[in-house]
Amino acid sequence: MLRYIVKRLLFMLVTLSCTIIFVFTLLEFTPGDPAKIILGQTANEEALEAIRLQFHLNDPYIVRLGRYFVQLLHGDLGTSYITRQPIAGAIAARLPLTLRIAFFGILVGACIGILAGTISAVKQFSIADRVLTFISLFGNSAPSFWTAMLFVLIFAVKLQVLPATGSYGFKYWILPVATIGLQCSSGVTRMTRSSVLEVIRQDYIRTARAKGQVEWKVVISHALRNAFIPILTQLSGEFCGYLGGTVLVESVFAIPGIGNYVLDAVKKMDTPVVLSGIVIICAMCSVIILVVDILYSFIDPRIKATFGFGVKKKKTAKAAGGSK
Amino acid sequence: MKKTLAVLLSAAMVAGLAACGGGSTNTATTAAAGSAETQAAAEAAAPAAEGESDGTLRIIQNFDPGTFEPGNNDEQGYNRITTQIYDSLFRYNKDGVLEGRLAESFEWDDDTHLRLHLREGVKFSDGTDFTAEDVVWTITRAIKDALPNYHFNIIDADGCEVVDDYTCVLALKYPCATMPNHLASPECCIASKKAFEESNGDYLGGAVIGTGPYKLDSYVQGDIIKLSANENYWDAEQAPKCKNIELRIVGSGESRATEAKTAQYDVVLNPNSRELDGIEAVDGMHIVYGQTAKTVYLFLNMKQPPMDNVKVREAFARAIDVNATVKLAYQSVGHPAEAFIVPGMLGANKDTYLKYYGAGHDVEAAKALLAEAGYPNGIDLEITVNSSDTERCDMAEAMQAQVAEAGINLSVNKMEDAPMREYIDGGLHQMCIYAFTAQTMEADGFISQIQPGSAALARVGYERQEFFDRYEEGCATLDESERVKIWEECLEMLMEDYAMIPLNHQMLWAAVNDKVDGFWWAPDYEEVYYNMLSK
Repeated sequence: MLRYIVKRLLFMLVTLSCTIIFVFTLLEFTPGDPAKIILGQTANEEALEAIRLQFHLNDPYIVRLGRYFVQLLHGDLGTSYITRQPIAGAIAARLPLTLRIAFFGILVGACIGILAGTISAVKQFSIADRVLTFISLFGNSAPSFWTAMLFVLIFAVKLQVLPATGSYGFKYWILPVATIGLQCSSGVTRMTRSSVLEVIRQDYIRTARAKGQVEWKVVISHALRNAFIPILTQLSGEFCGYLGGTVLVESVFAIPGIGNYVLDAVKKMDTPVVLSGIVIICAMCSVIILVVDILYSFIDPRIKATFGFGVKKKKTAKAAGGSK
Repeated sequence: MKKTLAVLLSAAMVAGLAACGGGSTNTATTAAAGSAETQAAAEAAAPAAEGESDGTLRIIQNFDPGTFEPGNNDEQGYNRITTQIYDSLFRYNKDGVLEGRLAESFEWDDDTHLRLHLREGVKFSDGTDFTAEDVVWTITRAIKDALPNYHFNIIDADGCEVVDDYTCVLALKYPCATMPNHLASPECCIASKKAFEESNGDYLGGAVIGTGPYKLDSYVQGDIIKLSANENYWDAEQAPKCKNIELRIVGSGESRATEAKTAQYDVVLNPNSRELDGIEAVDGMHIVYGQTAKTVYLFLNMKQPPMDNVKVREAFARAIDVNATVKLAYQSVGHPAEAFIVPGMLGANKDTYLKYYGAGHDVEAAKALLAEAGYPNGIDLEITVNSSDTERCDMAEAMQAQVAEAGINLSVNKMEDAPMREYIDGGLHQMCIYAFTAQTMEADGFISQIQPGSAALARVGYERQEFFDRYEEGCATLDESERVKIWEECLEMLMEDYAMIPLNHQMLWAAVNDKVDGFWWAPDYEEVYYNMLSK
């Protein structure tokens, strides 16, 4: 197991390095002179040159790329062109907010989606199935910013029971988490329904029923557990997506998350912020995927066997015993 | 064992995220006084219940400063925050008159040496004395660190001199009679040299020490700034009426409008202009408008064919309907141009404006001018606008429809701000919409931005030497009435050449709670002095 994790961590470093090179190169082709962006419209050539020297903008591409890697190894994410302050502090302030609403949004989405999807599958073609399918399609089609604005209008402006914007405590999180949860749940509902339907026709489910197992245990222990891998994959994908993609929700609810921070930096051509923001999001996604990959092995023992978790040891022990 | 590991992994993930909740504000908070923000304290950011007054002014605004370094950014939104903490040497009062702040008076030693007599007894918020050393140090450091401050760029850093604790002499690179006006800009606020050196220039912490009415308590990046009254503030007449300020940062104009409609905040700056009627209809809220020194122009690039032909430029000026365009785009907050710069600024002359642009929208005249220019069958032109500026995009589209009648096929090129600046500063455009602010409350605040060496000059591609020469003469003219005549001449040259078409004199607006008194917009750089607000 440890060997697998170390191997995956090494792969993660390769992925991150490739991301850095790709994004850094892409930002190279972005039009616009950062010096002019920093100094504004009234800058003269003398001041512009001073800024280019200060931020090493005149150095060749490869030198700047190398310098960025060295900085990262020292735990330095660089300095913002606009504020001239370290980026690490700004990201540290924003990342927890994004993580929080994304995680709890996914949690709510998973709870609703798995429950609704399972009911839909078990009661296939019933009225409940049709209603839940319709709701999930609607939830998937409605843009998150629209849902967010609708929630704000109803609960903050009309009813005045929840705050419209901000992130200062539990009641502030309800609307953003509900927005993400609703959108996420629709995808999870559909995935759960199709996965459970696929599993529920298998022989071992019939066997479980034949031996007299109660229905809810059949559904949860036999059907849902075996259908869980694609659902978990979907949830991890959604989580990764929301890490960088909650920008619309962050904007409507004025949550100072990382999505807004990076988007703002893109508009201002603050390339060090864009680069470091993407690197952090990529690193977070890599960690989530690693955790999910490890969780797979606990849900499905066949995966353990494929990667040889614990299997090799047992075989070696047996072989050693046999030779005696 | 494996089940335990699975549970542990899941628990670690949840625990990590839960930790994000409580700890986030700690990580993000910059506490000038060293205090750590807790979640409970952050809860206090929530608006007080209706009718409750706790001496805290709760404001929503759009700009996240990222740092509190005076002069770090030339955006009005940024300087609106720093002016609460730092003071400038001069300032325009409510009537638009220049008054001394940290500088009590000034005198000219010669054309290029300005002697400043500083106010005695002023202390920084940390209790240390404000001296001439701080003034000269602030200016020279800003120049050497290349901060985006074009006002300080007029100053020769090496020639500045501290005469005594309360007198200093600023050396200028060239004569500039309006230098005191430039020093009134919030970009020219004075910082503490001692605090900078002791904190190693930490403008999120120890270096944030000014002589302004408030001091920084805490800052959660992208979220909230908390200020409290500076007990060492020198101006008893303008001592803060509210002891604390909470400035929430809300980037979206729509979200600011939503918050204004909830009437839970004291002031909401610049909510979406399309929502103003809805906000006015809310009990307890009203809108306060302000006229700025900013004018939005249509720049006609005189170096890019066919705009190099004055007849084509004049034809375009006749083909558009400025009043209708501005009213359509800005609606209730539109102020169609009445002069080349905002009326009331020295150098603004409505009569001269009417002489060139007064004839207004005239399709036949535009067609005739195009024919004279050699385009009897019409012409293809392009206008570049910032895609994120809704009003300017609306204006470009309105013009597109108007000029079609005159045979002009206008294409609208919408670009993001940064690439657009690159495009227009490279002089690649035919026309673009952009704004200039006459910060000095005189025309030179605008004219200085299109002088040789300035990136903005390429936006008009102006090359009339007489214009540049007269500007230099104006700069060297100490007599105000003489200077005004020169500014009027300079502006008339721009009008005569149809280099730019003024469109809208920019207005500002804020949703203000009825229980708040004393709100006004400063015209020069759109500041708001929160210390004058009471509730």
